[in-house]
Amino acid sequence: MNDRVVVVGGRKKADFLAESLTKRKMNVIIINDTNSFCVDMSHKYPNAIVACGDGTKPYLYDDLDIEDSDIFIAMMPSDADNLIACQLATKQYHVKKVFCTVSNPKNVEIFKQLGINNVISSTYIVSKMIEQMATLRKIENYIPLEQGTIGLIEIIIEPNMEAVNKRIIDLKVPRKSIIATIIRNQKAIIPRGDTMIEAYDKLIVLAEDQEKELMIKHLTKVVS
Amino acid sequence: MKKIESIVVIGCSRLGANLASQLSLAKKDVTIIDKNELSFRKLSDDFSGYTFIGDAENIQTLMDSRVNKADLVIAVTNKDNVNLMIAEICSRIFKVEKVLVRLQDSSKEFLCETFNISFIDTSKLAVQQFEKIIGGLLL
Repeated sequence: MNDRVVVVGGRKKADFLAESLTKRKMNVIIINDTNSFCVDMSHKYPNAIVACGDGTKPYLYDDLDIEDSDIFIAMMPSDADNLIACQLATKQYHVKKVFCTVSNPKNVEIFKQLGINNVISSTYIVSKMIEQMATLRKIENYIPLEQGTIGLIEIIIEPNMEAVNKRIIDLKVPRKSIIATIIRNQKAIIPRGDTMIEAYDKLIVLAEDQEKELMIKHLTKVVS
Repeated sequence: MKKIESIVVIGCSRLGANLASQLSLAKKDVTIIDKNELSFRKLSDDFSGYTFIGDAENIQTLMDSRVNKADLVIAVTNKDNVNLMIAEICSRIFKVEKVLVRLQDSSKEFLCETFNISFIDTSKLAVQQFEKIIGGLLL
């Protein structure tokens, strides 16, 4: 028996999901409140069940017989609608796995506390990615050596990073990289295991190419 | 149960405004929240509580309006799902002792029961009132 997946709300996201789910031979049920979108979807995915209506109404769930479905995905514009739809799906209709998208990142934690296990905020995910890229910006310089198999990286340590006031031995850096030199107050220090890292140190790191991302992330981790 | 003194009404609808005005008249400490400042015109002239402008769908608004210190929260916005979400947050996360919501669609009663939230079904109430006035027509 193929998995039964209910997709509520969303336009491009719903379309994209429906395409990949039908390709995997899943039984897709699409619920959307825009009539023209529903007509489009029913033409595009003749094997899917498409229903037009308010995706938070129990009578719609009854009509579509979503009881015991495998997956339920709520992607309506309102976070409240998504929460209520997901709660109805799990608690009243016993759907096995529920995904709730939210636009306000703060609702991720809140909805988890209200019993929804999988809460997804695209704002949250995108901002985390940007944040990571911003920390990667801490690299001052990168010099590839030996056709790029190994490289020298300059990293500035900011006061809010975990590495501050730690001995190098305690940093547990990845195996295929070393901190070669520390530049502090325009002076170079050849570090030993017990050398302490300080804020605003410039580290000159030698790392194998495939490990450089890991090493940069490791050293520039911000205190959470 | 301790005496209800501090009350937060969410949504300055006709119902919300009337409730808040009455509760304020009864010398309760009332705060009313609405995202549209103009909605507060519906409050009675002698309303002496606080008005708070903000979107109650955002948890920050709930925190700023000190919902967590209330003895009773009444969610009466014009959206059932928003009322339910606010009620769940207030009872589960802020541990408000008594939470009341207005529902226009009784099919979501199930959720109120699972979350132990009291609700008023306004359409059902209207039908009951209608029945009382007309008398026996619906029986």
